[in-house]
Amino acid sequence: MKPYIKLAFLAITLSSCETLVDDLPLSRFPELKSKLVLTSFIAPTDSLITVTLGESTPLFGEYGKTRTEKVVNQAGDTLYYNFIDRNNIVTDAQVTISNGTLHKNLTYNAKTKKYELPTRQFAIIPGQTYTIVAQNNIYSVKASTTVPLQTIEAQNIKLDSLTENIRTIRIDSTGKYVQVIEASKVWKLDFDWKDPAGQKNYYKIDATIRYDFEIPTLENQKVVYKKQSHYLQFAWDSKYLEFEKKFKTDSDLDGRQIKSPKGNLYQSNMFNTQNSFTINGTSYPIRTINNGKQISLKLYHLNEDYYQNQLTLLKLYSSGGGETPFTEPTQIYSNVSNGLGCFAAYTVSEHIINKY
Amino acid sequence: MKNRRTYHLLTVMLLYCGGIFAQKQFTISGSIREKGSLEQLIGVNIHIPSSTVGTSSNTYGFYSLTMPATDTLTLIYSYVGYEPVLKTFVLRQNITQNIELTSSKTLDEVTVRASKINERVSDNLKMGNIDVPIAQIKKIPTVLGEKDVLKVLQLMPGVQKGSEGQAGIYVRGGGPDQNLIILDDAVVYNANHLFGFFSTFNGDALKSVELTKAGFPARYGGRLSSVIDLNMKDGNKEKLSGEGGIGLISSRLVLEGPIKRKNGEPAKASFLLSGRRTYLDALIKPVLLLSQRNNTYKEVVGYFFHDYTAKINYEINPNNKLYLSGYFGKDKFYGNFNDKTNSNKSGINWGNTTGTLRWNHLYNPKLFSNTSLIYSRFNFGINNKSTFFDSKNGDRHYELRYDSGVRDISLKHDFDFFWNNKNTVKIGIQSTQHYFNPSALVLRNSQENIFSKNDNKINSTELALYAEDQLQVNSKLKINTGLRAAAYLVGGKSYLNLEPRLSMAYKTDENTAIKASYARMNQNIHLLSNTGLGLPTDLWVPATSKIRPQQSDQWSIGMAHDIHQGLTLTAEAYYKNMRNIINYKDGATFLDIGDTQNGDAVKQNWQDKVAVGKGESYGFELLLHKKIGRFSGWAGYTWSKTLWTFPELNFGKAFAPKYDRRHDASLVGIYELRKNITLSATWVYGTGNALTIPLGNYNGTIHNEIYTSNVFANDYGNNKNSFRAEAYHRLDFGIQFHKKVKNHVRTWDFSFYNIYSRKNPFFYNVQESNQNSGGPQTAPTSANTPANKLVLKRYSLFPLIPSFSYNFKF
Repeated sequence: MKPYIKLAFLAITLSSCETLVDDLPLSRFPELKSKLVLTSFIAPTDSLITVTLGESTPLFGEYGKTRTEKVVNQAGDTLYYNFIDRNNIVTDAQVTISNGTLHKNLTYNAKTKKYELPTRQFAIIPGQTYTIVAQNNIYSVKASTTVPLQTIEAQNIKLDSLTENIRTIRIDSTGKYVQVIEASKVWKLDFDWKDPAGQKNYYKIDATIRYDFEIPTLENQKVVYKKQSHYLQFAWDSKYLEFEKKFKTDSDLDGRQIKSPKGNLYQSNMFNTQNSFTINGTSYPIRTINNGKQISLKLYHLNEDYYQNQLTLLKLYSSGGGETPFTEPTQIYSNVSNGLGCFAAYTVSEHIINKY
Repeated sequence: MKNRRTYHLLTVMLLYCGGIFAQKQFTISGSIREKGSLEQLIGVNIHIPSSTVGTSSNTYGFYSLTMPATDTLTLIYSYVGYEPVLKTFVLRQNITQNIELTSSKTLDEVTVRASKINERVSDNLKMGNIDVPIAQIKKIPTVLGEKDVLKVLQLMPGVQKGSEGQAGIYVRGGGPDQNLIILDDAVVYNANHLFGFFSTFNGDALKSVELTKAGFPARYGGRLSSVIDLNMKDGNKEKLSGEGGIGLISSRLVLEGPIKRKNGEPAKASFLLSGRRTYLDALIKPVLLLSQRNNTYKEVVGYFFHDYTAKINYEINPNNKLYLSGYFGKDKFYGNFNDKTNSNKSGINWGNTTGTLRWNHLYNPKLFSNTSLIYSRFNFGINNKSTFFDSKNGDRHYELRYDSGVRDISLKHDFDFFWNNKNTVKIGIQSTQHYFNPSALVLRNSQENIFSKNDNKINSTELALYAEDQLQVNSKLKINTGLRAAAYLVGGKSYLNLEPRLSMAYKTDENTAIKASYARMNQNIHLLSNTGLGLPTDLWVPATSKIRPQQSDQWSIGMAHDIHQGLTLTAEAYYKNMRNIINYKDGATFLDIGDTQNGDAVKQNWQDKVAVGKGESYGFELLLHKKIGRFSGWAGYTWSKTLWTFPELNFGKAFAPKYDRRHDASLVGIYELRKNITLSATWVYGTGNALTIPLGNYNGTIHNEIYTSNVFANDYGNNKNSFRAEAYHRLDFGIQFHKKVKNHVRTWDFSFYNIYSRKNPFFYNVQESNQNSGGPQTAPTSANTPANKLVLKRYSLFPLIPSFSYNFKF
């Protein structure tokens, strides 16, 4: 072998071994800091204006402090059974709402962990633009939003019930999951509404059935029944609840009668897989309070801030919330300058359907 | 008076016509081949010395030139890397003249003589056209010594690579799907091996490679951004010959030769066979098994790719020739795991198959035709099969199989009409039937007794008609103008698009030409890509009644200057806009197989995951090129800007796609140090990719929703893709030692890839600072993941990689 070939072989053998994974210095991210997350949804029908302020966590760098805290989730008048995560709550900010002429401060309520102002002191008027400014010695953010002018009423509401065979999964006597086909009562709901012409309109629809139960609970070594309300939502254009389908725009339908998507609610979904609780070896049935049943149909007329922010968040939720290397990142809409979150407005009309 | 004027006019007209009729025209035609192998040569320049009158040979080496009768007509046949041939004719009748050119490689004074002939860019009408001689490609250093035509094209201005090591090609702001890659007329859908680190083409089996990025002639259509036309060698008609190499990760061999050669006459038929395979898996397997000999489990993982090409051609008579060629390539990753409790088999595989049957027919010396029957197939699959052993309740089986693919059958008929010395007309028709299966999913779960199948098969038909004329208006102006009518039928919906094409070159002086071009292109196929890595996980999907075909308009203007013999300078500026381009919506993934709630694989339609938008790209490119000589190579620079606007992405605001690249530069040098030693070096630079990186996270509030009231979200800043990755640059060096031994030439090839070991980003990942290894992970998505410090880690792929290979040719 010629000497130069030997030399080349030697060079190859002496190939360098070094790590191929390196940290990027934080100086690559001049924008890296906690941001104030402002959340407020206002409507003329609300009795209270609330603003939540939290902190985002910068992704890079040290984070010794608690990043989130648990807060009990509350839906309507019933304490819901799970806990949710909240951002670090900022309690020392000065929060002001204004309509251009009138400025009012909101007061922090340590119980609800929100900044509050009753609407009898500061009314929310359809068509008006409002600005919220929130600041403390670290943060200063500002957001504006305009309340939709009209409240839109649902028309031609139709509710049908029928029986359908559906496939579902049950736990059998051996504890195995099995697939079964069973008859189920199905409620079908549809309606329409008139779109105000000459403007961009955004809508959200929500139809919920309320079911009241009495649940056996152990209290002071005694089994007592406690009332609990469960809410089940109609799914739209699908058997299953897909949040994005609650949202609609008037694109290509300006000024026309807009048909709702087809609402479906399957009775088998209502009882889940359980109809009794076993306490100390004894089985106690779950009691259903039949006359507690009612369907509430809400038609929200949203402004664009509401539509964009909520739709992007719900899309993220539906995609599992996780972002894997094979998933496109989901950008969340925000109209808070210098911060995150959303200040949005809506009007809402509600129809209660008792007969079904 | 009036009569007199009429009389004069008639006289002039008669004289003029008489002049035309008196000068009878005759045609010289024939085929041009390489001496020794009789390989047909494409694009050989045939012209009258010191004049612009001339023509060039077509894809099948055929040429035809019609000239007024004369007693002395001199023609020069010239081609880069070949000795020119000068011929003088007495043109009083039609003449058939076949020409054999001698490759300068086979001459003794290897490099010096080759410099005599160079293609003059100022004489050439083409713009946005790159044609790199295969011989030059073989001299450029590469990673692990695998010579790769697509990687060499990436070194040219206007053509970008994706990430480190990728063979994906991005031309003038277009995506990797917008390149029409055709091998012997057949479309190759995925030109990548090993997730794009190598291209599927074995350079030894190729005759020519040409990339066009603007001013597309009307005969090409179906993609927006470029045409990469590859032609396989036909096979040596004189003797059995071969070429091959043994490298660190793979070996390759090409064999070609005549079929039934009689009495020293050139054979009527010849063949070519080539094969390439990696052997990493075979080398690793025994090591893996040995290391696990004391374990309770056995785990084997491996990867291989192979590709084969085969071609035969048969000359029925001088007017009829047949060619049959095929390509078969496959990549496979696999993993098998076995222990007492369960066994698991999983794999990813993909591959292309193409086949072309072509018939050349010469009607007369001026009219040449080719008919092709073409088959092309690309398929990609992921499978995972697990069995959990359970002697009590019976074994449980799970299976997930995911397939995606496209299959095409086309028929094409083209005419080349060499009308006169001013006009060459090409007319043709092509029909393609596509069979798409964008995603087919099979899910089986024996425990829940679930078996579901979900596929979205779509068929579509493409029909195209074209006509183009290459016109020499006068000694200074050349025009290629054409029109392509493309019809597309899918699911009861039809689209008809007209595509005007124009390119022109005007010579301002002996060595300089100003060029301009316009082309409208349509593309009836989309690539859904969310990795952007050119992974085969990208899905080929057809345009549908909902998602329209992609369309682009491109204008370019440029200058070509021959500085002196062998050295050229070209400068081009372009503006391109693109419509109906697609991208995944936020949160979408190809693995989004649908909700399996309650046992139903909910039918998910890929069309629901796709956003449609538009894009624009503009920039300028400079190329100083020396194709021949003892020192050859080029310097290229591109400045460009690409922006996408999608109503459903980035809240309707424009954003930079991943491969928007402001600066892209490359320097390539090849130096023949001595007769038997070739040195080469390349240096490349590119602005970092535009990426979306999370900067923070927070809980977003859902308003008035019972099932959820908050969503843990990432803060990506104000704009999509607002993070710029670090710039990419690297220097490679190569040295080749050639030696002629007995009956073959052998070459030792040493490559040093990334000589200063620049850690170029391959991908970035958010993870804890002390975590140093592991595959791609994401930011913790649950709020309370314990971690002290998160960092953005840069993963690099190739540090300095030295390699060698042994190559031979006989």
